Amino acid sequence: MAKGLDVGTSFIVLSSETEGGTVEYKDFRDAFYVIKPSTPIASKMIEKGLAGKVFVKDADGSYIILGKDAIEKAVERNDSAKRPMYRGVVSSKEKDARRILSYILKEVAGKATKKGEKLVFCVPAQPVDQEDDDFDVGYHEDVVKKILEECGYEARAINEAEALCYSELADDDYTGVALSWGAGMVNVCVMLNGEPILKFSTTKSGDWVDRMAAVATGETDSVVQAEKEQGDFTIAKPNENQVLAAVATYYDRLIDYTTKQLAAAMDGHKALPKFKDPLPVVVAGGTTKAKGFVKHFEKKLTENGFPLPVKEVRHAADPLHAVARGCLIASQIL
Amino acid sequence: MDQALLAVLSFGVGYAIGSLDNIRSALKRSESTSFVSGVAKEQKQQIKNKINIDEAKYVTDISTDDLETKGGSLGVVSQSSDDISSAANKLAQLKKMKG
Repeated sequence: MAKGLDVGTSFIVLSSETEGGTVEYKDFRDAFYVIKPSTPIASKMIEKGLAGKVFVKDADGSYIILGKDAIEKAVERNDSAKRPMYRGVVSSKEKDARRILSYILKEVAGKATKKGEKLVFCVPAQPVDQEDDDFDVGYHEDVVKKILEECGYEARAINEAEALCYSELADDDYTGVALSWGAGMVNVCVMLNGEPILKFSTTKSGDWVDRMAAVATGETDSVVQAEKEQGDFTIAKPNENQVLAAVATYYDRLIDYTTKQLAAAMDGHKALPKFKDPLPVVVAGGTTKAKGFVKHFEKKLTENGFPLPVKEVRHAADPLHAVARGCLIASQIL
Repeated sequence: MDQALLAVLSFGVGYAIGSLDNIRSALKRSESTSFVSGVAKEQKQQIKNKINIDEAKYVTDISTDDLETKGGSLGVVSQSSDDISSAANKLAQLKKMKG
C-alpha cells in the first residue's frame, strides 16, 4: 500500500487507500507553542492544565503543545503559535523547526507497513516574486525525505500544484492549470496531457492576510487566524467585525497581487504551447475556502490579463485534501 | 705600448663576446622555464577549477528522542468513498504514451 503526504505550512495531511477501496485522510495542524516552566511546582501545574491536549515534554523541562491545541493556547495567552515551516519549506526562523517537524511527520505518517513502502510527498516550486536566495526547496526536500526514510518509506517528492493537477484534472485529460493556495505560498502548475510544463510559486498567501490584518487591527496573527477560520465574511465586502473587515480587504489585495504575478510569469513564456481549447483552472487549499473566493479570483484573472484561454474556474472537490489525494495518485504510478 | 693596448682591447672584445653569449643562453633558459611554468600554472588552474567545494546544506541526524510524548495521538482521521484507481490508470496511460 502506497501513501501520499501533503507537507503544508499550515496542515500536514496523510492519504492512504483502505482495503475497502476508500481513501483515508489524517490531518494535523502544523503548529507548536512552547511553555517553559519557571519552577518545578509551575511545571506540575502546567502539565495538569494540559490534560487532554496534544503535547510533548522536552529534555530542558519545557512543554511543547502541538497542532490546533497550540493555536488555542497561544490565543489564550495573547500570543502567536509557531510554525515548523515557513513559506512552504522548513523554517529557518525557528531553531526547533526541524526537530518539531520531524516529530510531527513521524507521528502522522507512522512506520511504513513494510520496508520500502512508497510514499509521495509534495514540495513547493521556486518562487517568481522573491529575489533573494533564502528560499531553499532542495534542503527542505532532503530533510523531509530523511525523516520519512527513517520511518521505513521509499519517499519521493513531487511539486504541490502538480499533485493538485493529478487529483483534479482526470476528466480534462490531465490538461489545465492548478493553483494550490496554502498558508505560506501559492503554487501553480500548467499541465498538458499529464506532463507538467510550467511550475512556479508566489510567496504571499493566507499567512500574509493574517499578518497584514493583525498589523492593521493590533491583534496577534493567531487571533486573526482563529477569527478568519470561524468568522463570517465575504472577500472585498464590508464587515462589522474589524478583524474580518481587514481580512476581507487583504484577501482582495492578495488575489489581485497573485493574478498580476500569474500574468507576468506566464505571458510569452517559452514553455507554454498554444492551447487549442480553453483550459480549466482549479483552485484548492485552505485559503480558497473564504466566501466569494472563486468568483473574485475569476474576475481578477480577466482584469489582470491572464494570458491563457480559460474554460472555467472551479474549486477542487475537496480543497483541503486535494493535494494529498494527488500525491496518493502519483504514488501508484511513479 | 701598442702591443699592450692591443692585448687589452682583444681581451675586452673577447670578454664582451663571452658575456653576450652568457646573456643569450640565460635568456634562452628563462624563456623555456617561463613556458614550462606557464603550462604548469594552467594545469594547476584547471585542477583547481575541477575541485569545487560542495556548499549544499547537509541534513544531519534529526533526533526526536528527547521529546517525551505526553498528550494524545496526532491527527484527525476521516474517510472518503473515493476510487482513485481510474484516475491513476488514466494518468499512467498518458505517461506511457508520452514514453
